[in-house]
Amino acid sequence: MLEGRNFSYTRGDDPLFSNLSFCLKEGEMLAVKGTNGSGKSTFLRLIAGLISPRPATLYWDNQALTSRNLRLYQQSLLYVGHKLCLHPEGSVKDQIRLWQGLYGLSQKVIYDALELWGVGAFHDKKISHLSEGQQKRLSLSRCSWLDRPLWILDEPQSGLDQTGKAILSQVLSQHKETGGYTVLATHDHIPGTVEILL
Amino acid sequence: MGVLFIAGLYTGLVTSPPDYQQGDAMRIMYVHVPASWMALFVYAFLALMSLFSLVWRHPLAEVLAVSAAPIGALFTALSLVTGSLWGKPMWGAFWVWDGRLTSVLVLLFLYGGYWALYKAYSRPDQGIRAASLLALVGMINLPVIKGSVVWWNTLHQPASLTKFTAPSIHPTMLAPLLLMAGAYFFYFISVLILRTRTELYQRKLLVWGGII
Amino acid sequence: MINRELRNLYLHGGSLLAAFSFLALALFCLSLALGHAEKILSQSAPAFLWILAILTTLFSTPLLLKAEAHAGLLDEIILHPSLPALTLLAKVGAECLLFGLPLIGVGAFMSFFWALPLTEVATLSLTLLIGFPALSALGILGGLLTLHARGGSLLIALLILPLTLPLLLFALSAMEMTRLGLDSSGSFCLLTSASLLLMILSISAGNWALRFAVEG
Repeated sequence: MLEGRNFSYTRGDDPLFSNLSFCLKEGEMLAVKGTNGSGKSTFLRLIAGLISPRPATLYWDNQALTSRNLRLYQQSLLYVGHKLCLHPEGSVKDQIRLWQGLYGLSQKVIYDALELWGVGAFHDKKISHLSEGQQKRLSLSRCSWLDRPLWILDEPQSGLDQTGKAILSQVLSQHKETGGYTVLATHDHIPGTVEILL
Repeated sequence: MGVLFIAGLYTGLVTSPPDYQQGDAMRIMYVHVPASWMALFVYAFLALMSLFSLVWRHPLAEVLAVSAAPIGALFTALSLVTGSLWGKPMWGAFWVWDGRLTSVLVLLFLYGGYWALYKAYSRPDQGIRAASLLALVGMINLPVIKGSVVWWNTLHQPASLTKFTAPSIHPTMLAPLLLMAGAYFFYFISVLILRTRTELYQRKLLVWGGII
Repeated sequence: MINRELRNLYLHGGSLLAAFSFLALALFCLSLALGHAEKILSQSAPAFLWILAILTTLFSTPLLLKAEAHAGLLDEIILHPSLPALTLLAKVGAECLLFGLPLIGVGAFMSFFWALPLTEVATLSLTLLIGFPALSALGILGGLLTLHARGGSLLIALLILPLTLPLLLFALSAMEMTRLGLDSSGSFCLLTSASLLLMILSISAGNWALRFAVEG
C-alpha cells in the first residue's frame, strides 16, 4: 500500500501544492490531473523519490520512507517520465544491450516486450531515426519487461497514436489485475481511477 | 575595530624597526601577511558554512557563506596586490609563477567561481547548493597553499610563525603583525554582519514581495 | 558496470573523436609553430599537452553529461539499485580507458617529434596516467554542477580549472625534475595524493550534485 501525507512543494518562490494526502491500495490507479505547469510532474517525481519530499512523508507497505530505505523503495518502482531515458546516440540494439546490463535480463524478455509494443522490427535502426511515437513506445516498453509493483507514469499517452494508446490501456489494465499500483499524470479521463486535481 | 586598526598601523609603521636587509619597504608585510591569513581563514569559514548548509540545511549557514565570499575575495586580492608591490623593490619582480603565488591566485579564482556559480542559477536555493559543493572541493587548495613554500624552493619567504618551536620572529615585529591580523578579523566580522543583515532583509523582501 | 559505461561512452563516440582530433591538431600545430626552436619545443610541449588534456576534458565531458541529462538518463542512475557514486566512478573509468589511454598514446607518440629523452617520455606518460582520472572526475563534477545554470561551458572553465591547477603544477614539477636529472619522486607523491584527493572529493561532491541536478 502506498500512502502519502502532507505533501507540499514550493518551486523557488512558487508554491505548487500543499497538504496533499492520498492512499493507494493494491490494484488501484491514481490519476493526477491539472493544467500545464500545475506541478503534476513534480508530484510524480516526489513520489518516485527523485526529489526529496521533506517535510512530507511517504509510506510504502506501512513503513515510512527515509533516506535509508529510499533505495529499497526505488527498486520496487518503475518511473517513466517525460524524458524518454533512451540514449541519445546509438541504435535500438545498443539500447537493449544497455538495459540488459542495467537490469540483468535476457534479450528474449526485452524483445518480446518490444514486439508487444509494436517496435520489435526496429532493432537495427538508430533511435534518433525513429519517430517520436515509436521512441515513446520504446520507452514505455519498460513497463512490460521490467517487473515492478509500482508504476509512476508521467503523461504516458502523449505522443502515442490510437494503436499505441490501445496497447497502453491493455498493459495498464493487466497491471491493475495483477495487483499493481499505478500513479499517472494525464489530461485524459481514465475510468476506474482515483483522481487528484492539482 | 577602528582602534585595533589604528594601533596596528601605528606600530607597524612607526615603532617597529626596519628590517636590516630590506629597509622601510618591508613594512608592507604588515598589510600583506595578515591579509593572506584572513584570505585563508575566510575560505575555511566559507567551506565550513557550506558543509553546514549542505548537511544540516541551516538557512543561516547559507547566508553567512554567501556574505563571506566577497570579503574573502577582497582579502585575497589585497594579499596578491600588496605582495606584488612588495616583490618589485625587494626581489625585482611583480609576479613569479611559483607555487605559492599561483595557488593564492587559484584561491582568488575559487572565490570568483563560488560567486559565479551561485549567481548563475535563477533560484538561489539551487545556486547555493552547487556553490557549496564547489567550495568544499576547493578545500584541496588550502594544503597546497600551505605546503607550497616547502615543496618548491622559491622566491616566497618560508613560514616563520607557525612552527611549533618559538616563532622565529622578533616581538616588535610580531606585535604589529598580530594587531593588524586582529584589525582585519574585526573588519571581517563587522562587514560579515552587515552583509548578512542585508542578505536577510533581501530575502525577507522577496518573500513579502511574493505574498503581496 | 564498467562495461556498461564503456558502451555508454562509446555511443558518444562522435564527440569523443571530435575532442581527440582537436587535441591532436593543436599538438600538431604547436610542433609546427615551434619546430625551428627545438629546445623550446621539447621543454614546453609536455606542458602544452597537459593543458590541452585539461581543457578538452573539462569542456567535452560536461557536454556528454548534458546530453544524457536531456534524455533523462541521470534519473535512471538515481533510480538504479547501485550507488550513484559507483556509477560516476564507472564513468570516470570508461573515460580513462576511451580517452585517457589514447591521450597517453598520443603524448608518447608526439614525444619522438619533440626529441624528448626516454626518461621524460616515461614521466610524461606516468603523470598523465595518474592525473587523468582526477581530470575526468572534475569534468563530471563540473558538468553536474552547471547542469541547470546559465552560461554553461564558460562557467565550468572558471570553476573547475582552478581545481585542476594543483595537478598541473605537480605534474610539471615532476617533468622539470626529470629534465634536470633530479629525483622526481617527491613531485610524484604530491601528484598522486592530489589526484586521489581530487577524485574522492569530486566523486563525493558529484554524488550530491547528481541528486541536486535530478531534483532540478
